[in-house]
Amino acid sequence: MATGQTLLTLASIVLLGIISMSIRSTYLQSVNNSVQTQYSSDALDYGRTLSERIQAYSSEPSLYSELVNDFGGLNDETDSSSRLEYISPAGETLYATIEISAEKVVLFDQMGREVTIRVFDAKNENDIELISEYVTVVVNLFES
Amino acid sequence: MGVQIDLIVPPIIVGLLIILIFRMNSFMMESSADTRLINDVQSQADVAMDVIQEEIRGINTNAVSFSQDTMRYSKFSEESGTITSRDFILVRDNGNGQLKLHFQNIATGNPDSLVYGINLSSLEFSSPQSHILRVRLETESDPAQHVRFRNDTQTVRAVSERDFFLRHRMFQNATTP
Repeated sequence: MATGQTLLTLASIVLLGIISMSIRSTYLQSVNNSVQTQYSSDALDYGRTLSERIQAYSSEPSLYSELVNDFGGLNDETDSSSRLEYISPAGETLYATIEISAEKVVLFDQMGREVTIRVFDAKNENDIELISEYVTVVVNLFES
Repeated sequence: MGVQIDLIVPPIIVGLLIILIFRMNSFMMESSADTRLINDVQSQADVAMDVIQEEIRGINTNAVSFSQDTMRYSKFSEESGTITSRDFILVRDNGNGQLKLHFQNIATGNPDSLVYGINLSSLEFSSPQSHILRVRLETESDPAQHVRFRNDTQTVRAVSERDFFLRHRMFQNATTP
C-alpha cells in the first residue's frame, strides 16, 4: 500500500475514534448529571429533615433548653467532631453545620432562636461543596 | 474465476458505515429518552414528598397511626365556624403504585378518594422518635417507558427521605403551662 493510502486509513480510524469517544463522553455526562440531581435532592431533603428536627425542640420546655446542648458547636464542616454526617439514601456522604443564634425576640414578641442549617456534599475530605442553606426559627412556646 | 476484492470491499465498508451511523442515532435517542425519564422519576419522588408534606400540615398528632405503606390520620378543619376533626387515609395503591388519599367529601358527605399519578415502588412510614414522622419513598419507571433498541428491561429509580415534626399537640394539651 502506498504511503498516502496508509496515512488516509490511519486518519479515518482516528476520526472514527474521536466521534465514538465524544458520543461516549456525552452519555457519561448525562448519567453524571442525573446522579448529581439525585444527590442535590437528597441534600435538600436532609436540610428539611434537620429543620423539622430542630423545630421539634419547641414542643416541650425541657427539650427547648436542650437545643444548644444537642446542636451547639456544630459549626465547622471540615472538622469531623464539629459537623453532622449522614449517608443519603442514594449513597452520598452529606455534612451539615448548624448555627444557633443567641436568644432574641423573633416573632410576635416571642423569644426564640434563629437557626441556620447548611448542608454540604462531601466527595472527600478536600472536596466539600455547599448545597443548601436553611434558616428557621425555634420559639419557646412555654416561656412564662 | 478470481475473486474481485476491489469490487467487494467498498460496498462492505459503506454498509458498515451505514450500520455505524444508525447505531449512533439509536444510541443518542435511547440516551436522551432515558435522561428525560430519570429526571421525570426524580421529580415524581420530590412531588410525592411535597404532597405528603402538605397533607401533614394541620395533622392531629394524637390521632396518627401507620403501618408499612398506609398512614391513617385526622386533621382539623374549620367548617361553618366550628373546628371539626376529619379522617384521612394516605396509602400506596398496591395495584398500580399510585399515591392515593381517601377522605370524606365535604360537599356530599360520601367517601371519596384522590389519586396522584406517581409511580411509587415503595412507601414507608416510620417514627424514629416521638413526634417525628419519617417518610421514605421510591419511584420507579416502567420498562415500557424506555426506548429499547437493546432489549434491556432495566428501569430507573429515584429515592426520597424526609423527617417531619408533627405539630399541633396544643389542641390536645391545652393545659400545658
